[in-house]
Amino acid sequence: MRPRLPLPNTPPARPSGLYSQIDSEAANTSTMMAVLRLEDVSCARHGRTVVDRVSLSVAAGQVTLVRGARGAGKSTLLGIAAAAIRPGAGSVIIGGRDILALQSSSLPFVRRNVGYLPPEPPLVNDESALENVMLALAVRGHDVISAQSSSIDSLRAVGFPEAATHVPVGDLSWGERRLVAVARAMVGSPPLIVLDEPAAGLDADDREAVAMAMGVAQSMGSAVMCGSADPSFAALLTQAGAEIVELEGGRLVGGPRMTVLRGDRVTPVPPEDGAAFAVVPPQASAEQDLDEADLVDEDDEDAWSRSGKR
Amino acid sequence: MNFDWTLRRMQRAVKRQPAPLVALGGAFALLVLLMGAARVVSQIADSVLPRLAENVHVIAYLRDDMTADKAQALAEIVSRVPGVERVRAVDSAEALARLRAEAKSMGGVAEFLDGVEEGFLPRSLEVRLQATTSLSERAVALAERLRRIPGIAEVDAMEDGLARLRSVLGLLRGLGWSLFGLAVVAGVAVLVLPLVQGRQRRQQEVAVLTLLGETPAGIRRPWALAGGLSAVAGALSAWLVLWLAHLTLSSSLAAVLGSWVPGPLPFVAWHEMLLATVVALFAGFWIGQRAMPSLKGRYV
Repeated sequence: MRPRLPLPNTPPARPSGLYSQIDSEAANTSTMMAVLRLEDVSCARHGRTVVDRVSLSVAAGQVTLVRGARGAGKSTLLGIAAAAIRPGAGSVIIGGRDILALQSSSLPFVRRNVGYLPPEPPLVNDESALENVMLALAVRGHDVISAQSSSIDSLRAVGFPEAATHVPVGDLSWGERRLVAVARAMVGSPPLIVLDEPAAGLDADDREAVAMAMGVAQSMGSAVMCGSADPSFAALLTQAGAEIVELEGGRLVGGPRMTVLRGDRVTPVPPEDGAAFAVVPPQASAEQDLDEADLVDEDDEDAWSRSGKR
Repeated sequence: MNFDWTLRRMQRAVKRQPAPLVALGGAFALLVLLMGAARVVSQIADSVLPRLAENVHVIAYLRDDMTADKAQALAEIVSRVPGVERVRAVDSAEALARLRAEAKSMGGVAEFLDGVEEGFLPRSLEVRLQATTSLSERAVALAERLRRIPGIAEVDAMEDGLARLRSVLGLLRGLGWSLFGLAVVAGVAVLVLPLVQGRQRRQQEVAVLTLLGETPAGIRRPWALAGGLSAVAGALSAWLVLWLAHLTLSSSLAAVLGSWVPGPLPFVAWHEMLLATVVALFAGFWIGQRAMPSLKGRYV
């Protein structure tokens, strides 16, 4: 086995933009802003309802674990959350915007704010592991040097072997490829991270490293949504304080099921109250807290430039 | 993806997947080479044809009862036939003088013509046609028309010479069509090879970039840039090859063809070279950005 990279001593600097509003408020109160809200989301495939009227919310700095048996609808739900799958009904609100109301040309600008690990993550086989991770930051407009440094940190964080950093992905083992994809989803601590079975095929050490990296992303203010059918990985996340939602037949059947109204904030409350979150009256609408430039249309290049993201 | 990343992605695309770009550059090089070769053939044809045409005459022998005035009037009429460059009335004395001169040049048989009377050879019209690629066909057609005119006893369309001319022109025509066929094949290769190769090899990268939130324009940009630069590189290398070929081969080609005088360098006009290179650049851009899998359905 290749030697692991040491974990970074200090977490990388948090990116500006979407986080700035979150930081100022979350520092003083336990109130958190919902980065992702799904409202009555349903999705059918080949005539079968895969996700059935699911409503949930993931706040900044929160890890939510979606559990469920095979075919429960986890992957579809996570795909919807990551703006990769369009649901048949409901609302998908990321950063305060209903993305289903956006033009398709705006969708890339939503996706670059989401670190998504699909069930079978695509990688560029003839590029190195490092370059594959750097691509996520290239799309977000980071400069090459900072992208390289952040990508190395991200690979370290998930326990990727140092010697394989410059090896083409096509020459890596299945587990190493999985780690590259996880590192790419979490690099740069995007506002929303959606991981579908991040621990699949990994050994115990790697699973632990991935869970720790998710904890680091959480502490950086990312909203993390993770689907896993692996009990040991779920146990790791639960120990680290992740919220758990249970899916069965496409419907939420357990955990912190909740309905969040548009513009409301959510606050974690003790589990003995029977609900994981309480709806609190809005101080200001969530839309106002967000960096508008995160969701601009492709045509509005000036607005994007003004935001300093490109 | 900003410009720095676009350049970086382009460099890496060239390094990782050179085949589509080499195919693109090579195809453009072939296209330009064929264009240049066609230009050389055209220059040779332009140079050789008038010299061949100089020796091609249709000669109409007039009947004995045709007076000089009538012959001149007939020459006027024939000179107005389209494609006729010049008509000259040759009387029997001049015809005999020519025959003597020719016999002398062939070597010492001119004495046999000493006893020939002045009016032995018939008066004739010597018709010279304009030099075009259809010279031989027009000569035959004109001969047919002249035979039907009263006062003309016989027409010599120089069938032997025309047959030789026809074979030369046929050769040039065949060469031209071959070059055209090759240019068509090269044109198809320019379009198809990089498109097919690019679409096969870029599946993964497109899947990754769409997942990460790159816009369609951002995905295409590095490949468009690489395509444009490959096409220009191919075109420029072909110009260089043609230039060197012209420098080294033109004198020997001129010696073989005899009448061909090679033009000064560059044998293709500067503005034509510039135009072809700019066309290659934009065609390369276009092909480069389409040499990738479809983005339909990836942003739904």
